[in-house]
Amino acid sequence: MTDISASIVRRDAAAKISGRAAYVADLAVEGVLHARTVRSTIAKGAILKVDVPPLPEGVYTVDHSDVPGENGVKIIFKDMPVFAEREVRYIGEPILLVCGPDKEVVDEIARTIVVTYREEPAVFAWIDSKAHYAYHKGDSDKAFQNAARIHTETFETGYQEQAYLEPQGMVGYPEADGKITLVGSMQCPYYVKNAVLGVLACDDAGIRVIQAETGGAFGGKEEFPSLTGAQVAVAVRKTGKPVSLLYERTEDVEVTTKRHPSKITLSAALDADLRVIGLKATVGLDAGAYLGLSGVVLSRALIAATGAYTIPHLSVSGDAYRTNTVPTGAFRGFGAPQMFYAVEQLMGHLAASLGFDPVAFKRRHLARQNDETSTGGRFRDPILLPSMIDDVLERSDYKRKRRAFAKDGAWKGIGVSVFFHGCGFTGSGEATHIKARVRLEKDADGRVVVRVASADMGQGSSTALAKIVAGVLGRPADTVFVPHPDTDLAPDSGPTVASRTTMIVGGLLARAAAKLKEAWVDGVVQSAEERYVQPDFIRWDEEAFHGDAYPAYSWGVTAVEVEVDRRSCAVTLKGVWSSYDVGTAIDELLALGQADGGVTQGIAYGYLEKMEIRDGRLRQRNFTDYVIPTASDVGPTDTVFVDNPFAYGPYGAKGLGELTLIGGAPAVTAAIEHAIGRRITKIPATPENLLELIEHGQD
Amino acid sequence: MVADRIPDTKAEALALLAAGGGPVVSGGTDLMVKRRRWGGLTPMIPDKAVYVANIAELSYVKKTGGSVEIGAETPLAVLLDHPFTPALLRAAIRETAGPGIRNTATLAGNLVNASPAADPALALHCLSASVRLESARGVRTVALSDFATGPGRTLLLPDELLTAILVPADDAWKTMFVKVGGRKADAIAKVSFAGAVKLDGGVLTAFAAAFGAVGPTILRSFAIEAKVIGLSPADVRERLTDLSAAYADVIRPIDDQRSDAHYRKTVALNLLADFIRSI
Ligand SMILES: Cc1cc2nc3c(=O)[nH]c(=O)nc-3n(C[C@H](O)[C@H](O)[C@H](O)COP(=O)(O)OP(=O)(O)OC[C@H]3O[C@@H](n4cnc5c(N)ncnc54)[C@H](O)[C@@H]3O)c2cc1C
Repeated sequence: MTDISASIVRRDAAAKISGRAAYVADLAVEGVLHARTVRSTIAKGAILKVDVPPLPEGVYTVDHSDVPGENGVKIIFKDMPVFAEREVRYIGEPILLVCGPDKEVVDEIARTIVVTYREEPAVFAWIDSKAHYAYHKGDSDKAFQNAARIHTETFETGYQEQAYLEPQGMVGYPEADGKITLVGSMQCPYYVKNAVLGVLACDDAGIRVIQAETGGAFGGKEEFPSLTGAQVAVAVRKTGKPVSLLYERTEDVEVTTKRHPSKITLSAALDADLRVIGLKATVGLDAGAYLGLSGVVLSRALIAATGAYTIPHLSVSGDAYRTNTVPTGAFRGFGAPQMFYAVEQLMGHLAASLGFDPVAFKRRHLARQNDETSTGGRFRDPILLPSMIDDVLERSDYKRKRRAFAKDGAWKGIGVSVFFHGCGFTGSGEATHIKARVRLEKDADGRVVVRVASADMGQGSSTALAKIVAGVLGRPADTVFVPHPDTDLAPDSGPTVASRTTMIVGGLLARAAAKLKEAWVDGVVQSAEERYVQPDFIRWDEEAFHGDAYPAYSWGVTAVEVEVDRRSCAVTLKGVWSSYDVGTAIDELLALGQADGGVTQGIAYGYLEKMEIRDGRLRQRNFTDYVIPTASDVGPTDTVFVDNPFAYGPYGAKGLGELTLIGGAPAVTAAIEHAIGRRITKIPATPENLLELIEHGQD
Repeated sequence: MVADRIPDTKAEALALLAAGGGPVVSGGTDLMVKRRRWGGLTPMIPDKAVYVANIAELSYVKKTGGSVEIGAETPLAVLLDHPFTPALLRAAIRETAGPGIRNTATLAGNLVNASPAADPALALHCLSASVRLESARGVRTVALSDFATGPGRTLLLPDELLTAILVPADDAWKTMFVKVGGRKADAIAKVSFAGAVKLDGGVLTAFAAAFGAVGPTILRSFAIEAKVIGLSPADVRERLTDLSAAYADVIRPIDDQRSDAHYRKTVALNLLADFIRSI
């Protein structure tokens, strides 16, 4: 363990434990109007008329006709309206806000508004592709023609809800100079700002966005707050008063983005040595009613098609389909969890049908340093997977358990997954789209304020960034401050996504700190700035999907042991062992928090968290019915970080936040398969599904 | 929205109910959720609600004759630790909600809420408990098997207060309680089972099997139960297939957002089989 990894007390600990931390619902804004959203009750149709009862003095409705600029929320495209105008495309789509000082009155009016529709047949089938990508490597046709054996399987994954503790919330108010300020629970203040600029048709100085204390996000507060931010800004513009839009759990679950359901068909071609040399992948994602970020999620999924393995001949394609359902979007892992689930299962099933131990079979294919990546880039840095696997097998007592549990009637199983996560934005996104900037401001007393757009949403980034800056400056960590981002004060260092905050933003801060240290003069106000420059070795051709998709890769190995109740098929986690290569862990405890939380969320994705849509309507709308794990469901975890410093990361750090989720689902399903002796091709593997498999499934 | 007066005595509460007060609020853990509104607004509980959780004379556990009498307002957390609490009921309470809810939730609320998935109610059904209903007009005792008539519906009249739960002695009983929820804590049963059996001189002198979340009310079949009385455990085990088939005819669960009918039925019968094998 290096010095930087030694843990310090989290920056946010005292405020959160004492209850002082102010989340958006805690902000007392004088004269605030409470906003309630009136939403579509049908999956598809035309809005014929909206009947609003006579409004009492001081109560307003806000709809598409109040949008001064463009009625479209900029995410990548502007395909999602701020308020539905002539048509609605999913149940829950926002049509208007009712705003007023008295919640009781607002609630009553929102209930009495009648929207008349002309209903149209909704589309739930995956037929309307709105994003299509494909790439090839080597000669997959030839590999399949000459194959000694071909194995094809289709895998399906379901929705997953981010289930952040704090629901979505946004408050806006007018400033004396006509500027509108938004304070909200969010990951990406500049995404919100950029979306609102177009909606209000105002200039850069017309809008200010501040991140409030944020109680969890997991991707769910990446693009969604751009919608609520736009709505609140329009409401503030219309009413001239402060407006607060706070979601409750059920509303939040029903209308906010979730993980894309997927259907992935994989065909593997094996040579005479029983090695996978060719892979064909066809990926379908359900984008919901608006494309949003789905194209980027799809591309990350496609790039991960080979899993942690080197396969020379590839043919990969995928589509994101529009359906009349709630839009899906960013969620920790961003397309990778779906793909890794499928590939890991494929490798496990292949191993079983060829008579290999699954881990032994996976080992034959592991990617090694200097291998070509799926997209023809290069794994430039050392890959420690072989020793990480050894370590996880030993700690979990895998070999003995694998044999012992195979006996009939044990109903116990153990499974292992091997995975990576590409750190930072896909391709040259950092250089072409984000162009991150950071600034350090030092006052006369030597206190340093970190000005970045990165949001601490509970993951601990403010602590990690403070440690990096203090470490480089060689000054105590408590002289470095990382306030919540404010677009009037902090430059755009990019969104808090893609496992980029420590590696990319932290890297820029380390360089800025080095500059500041060099120029340091006691008693003087000083500052230092840095901007992102792409290392020249990274080459990415966006059109051809060719080159280095990521500047660096983090790696992981996870083993899960389960016991299945023979009466109810209920799964109990007996143990979780992981090893992660995140370069260097900036603060061991923070990293452990990310690791154990991530693997728990990933495992739950595999066996517990079920969300279905029937006729466009969600069936699980609260935490009674949408089952996330409690502390009693989490098995004991045993987590190790290996040191493998990355030359371009601060103190050698790579991405951490998403990696740890990715191996959970494939490891737990492999363990359940081992316990019940059946093949699983669909997650979540709920007890209901397991019963069905036991009765009718395939060995 | 708190009532003008919160009664301190049972007599006061009955008078309020006689005067048209209601609904009765005990722990409020079902009622507050059912009647919740937009965040920041209080639940829709009318001013004339009668809050009974504070009535000290309705919070007790005592043994009378062979049976246990539980005051309707005794919090579940108290019952969890009380020495007189029947073992099967204790097992059910241990798997009910979490500590916070158990501190305020009551058996009265659990029974009047009449959810087929309720846990304490399942144990009480299996133990052939009955409830005491009081009003200004008088007192009556109703067997739990008759009390619930459908989800959320019972024989309770608007002016009646459920004041006590009467559980026949269970000293010699051998029992089993299994709750199958979506997760290990704070879950609603997808299917649940409570079994109780009494053996005397090598034969079964009593047998009860209660199933939760497999129909509109908690299910017990006295007709099937009667068939095994007088048999030896070995005889009962031998007839497992017939018994399962008989139960399969009366267990008619539904598909919903928590589980499906096939799963519920299969697991219910698996739990029954497990219980019978354990006799
Ligand atoms: C998070 C959570 C988890 C839960 N988990 C479980 C669980 O695992 N298992 C389970 O079984 N339940 C569970 N419940 C449901 C609930 O807690 C129980 O049913 C509880 O026993 C209800 O008791 P109460 O006193 O709070 O009822 P209340 O909410 O006060 O009342 C419920 C109903 O009973 C009526 N009532 C109450 N007292 C009387 C009386 N003395 N006379 C006449 N009518 C009366 C009320 O008018 C109302 O209709 C859970 C609830 C929550 C919120």
